[in-house]
Amino acid sequence: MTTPRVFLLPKATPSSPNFTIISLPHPRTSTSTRFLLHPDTGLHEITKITPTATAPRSWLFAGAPSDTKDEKTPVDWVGDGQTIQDASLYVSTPVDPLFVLLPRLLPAGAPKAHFLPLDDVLDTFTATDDDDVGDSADKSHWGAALKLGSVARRQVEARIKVVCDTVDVDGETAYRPSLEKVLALLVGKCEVMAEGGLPKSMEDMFVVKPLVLPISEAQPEGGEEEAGKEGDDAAIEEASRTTLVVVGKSNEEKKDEETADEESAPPKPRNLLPPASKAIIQLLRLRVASQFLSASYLTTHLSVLLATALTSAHDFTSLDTYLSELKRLRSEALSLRSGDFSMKRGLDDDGGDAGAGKRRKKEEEEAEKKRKKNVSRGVRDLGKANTRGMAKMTSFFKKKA
Amino acid sequence: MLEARLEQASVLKKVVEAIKDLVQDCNFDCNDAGIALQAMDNSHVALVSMHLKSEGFSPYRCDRNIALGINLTSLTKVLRCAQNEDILTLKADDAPDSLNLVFENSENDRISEYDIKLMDIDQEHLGIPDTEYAATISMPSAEFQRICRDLMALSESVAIEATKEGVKFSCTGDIGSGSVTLRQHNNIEKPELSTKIELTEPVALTFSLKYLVNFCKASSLSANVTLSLSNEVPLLVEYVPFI
Repeated sequence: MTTPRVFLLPKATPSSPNFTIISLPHPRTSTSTRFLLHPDTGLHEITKITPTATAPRSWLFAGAPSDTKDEKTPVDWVGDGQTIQDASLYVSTPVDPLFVLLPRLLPAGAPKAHFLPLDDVLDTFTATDDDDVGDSADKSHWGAALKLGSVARRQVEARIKVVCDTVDVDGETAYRPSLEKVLALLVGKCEVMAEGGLPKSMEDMFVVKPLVLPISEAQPEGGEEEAGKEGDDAAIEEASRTTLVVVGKSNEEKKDEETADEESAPPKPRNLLPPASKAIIQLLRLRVASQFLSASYLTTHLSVLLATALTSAHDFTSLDTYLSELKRLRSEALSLRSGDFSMKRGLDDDGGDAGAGKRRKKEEEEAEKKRKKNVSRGVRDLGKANTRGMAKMTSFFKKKA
Repeated sequence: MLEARLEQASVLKKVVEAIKDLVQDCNFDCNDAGIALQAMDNSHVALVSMHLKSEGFSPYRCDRNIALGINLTSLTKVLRCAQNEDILTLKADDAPDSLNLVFENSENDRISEYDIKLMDIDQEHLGIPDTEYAATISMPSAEFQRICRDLMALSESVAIEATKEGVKFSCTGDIGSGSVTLRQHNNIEKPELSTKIELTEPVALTFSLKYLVNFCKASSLSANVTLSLSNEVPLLVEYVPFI
């Protein structure tokens, strides 16, 4: 008996029980990968979500109470309840069939293809199906995916039309994959993805985190003076406020004003970058989106092409300068802090090399001390005993075999 | 899996106390016959061989031969946490990285548990053949300890001279010389305190007092000590608990 697996399937339609799972080469790695082929909604990719090894989990299925048992969900095998050791969850999500087609449509370093009728273009996929791939594990099911009249076939045809140059020959349309169109489409995908923000976890990890400004505690010399001045100002204001109270203005109002003032002019971080502007954030999102797309769905040569296409479509210089500035500030903050430590050490040590030597000596001494600590006084005293003229034990007794 | 229960922790305490001033690290070899130890001092001029027979434990269980590499100073530290009348249990896995010691005090219903990290000790075992000694002297261990300590004040070495009349311990040092002679005598009430000399030929040999004083730390193990001497053979100092 095969172990049951837990799937999140596409929304049920009248024909939904008839979906099939097929193998197609993965768009990035070309290794045979499982896809779910739904008769009504086409190709779905399957993502396996595994719990971390540090927090092992399992599935528990509780048997449905008999009165509420739904005929539509056959749960016979669950019985009164069942556990599955493997807690993986398989999620199927619709995927653009174009990604699967791309490595074949635009192979790396291939000469420009000929114009072909649509059916012939698709035949190039099914032709290599089954026959020449000797290893059955590598077998891909293009035939099933591109079955005549299926929804998947229609989807594929539509996607191919989008990315191909066409010519009319004798009333028949011939197609040729166009790199420009593909790249334009991919750039468009990135833009759509970046628009309105990335998913939360991606946004946090790749957009918010890289743009965090370094915390610089070291303020320039002028800081204290100004603070002093501000203190004076506050004192004056304090005085004026008391007079104002006498005049009759409500104390609370004045306070509100004050805090408002303070908020509008926060203590400016000197020599620091302003927080990243929306345009910069958007550019970073775009870059992250393209990186994600490249890493998940595109072959290496296409991802390189996409990167160049994206830079020509958008101006990333503002983002790059911002990021490099940020990097400089970070390393500065870091060196400032580490500088503090070296200052401290500088007081009791002469400096770099001598310090290291001293430390090593100290460590050695400590190791020696530790070793000595594990030796009893008796053993140490015995070391001083005069053993001259005494024969070794090994001269009397031989080693045991 | 080793599991050995000693009715009295003092036995192991005394054993370790007797050895720890001679060797630093050594292997406790456990097999179904008991726990054995053989080690030499750093200069390799003295050798200690110890055997705790499985009958001395109740119960004793050792499924597989295990070598427990232990630093004796560390073991002493842990054993100091045990009271003499505590029940001591030694436990170790088949491939142990630590030795577990449990001390049970029935009077206070106290259970203390300690683990000692083990070490890999590459130790060669020497085969010690049965030897016919020219002289075998059996005497009270306290007497031997006292003689060694007394003579230690004068010199670093002692000459042991065994004759039919008795055994003479003598030394000569910078401040002068001294000697102690024991004659054969029989203590009927306490046979372990008798002095007996078995002799095939007279022998006179000299030994380092520093080492002998060190050996005498085993005196607490037994009221009786046996010295076996022969020319060209190391002196054998044997402490066998008198049962």
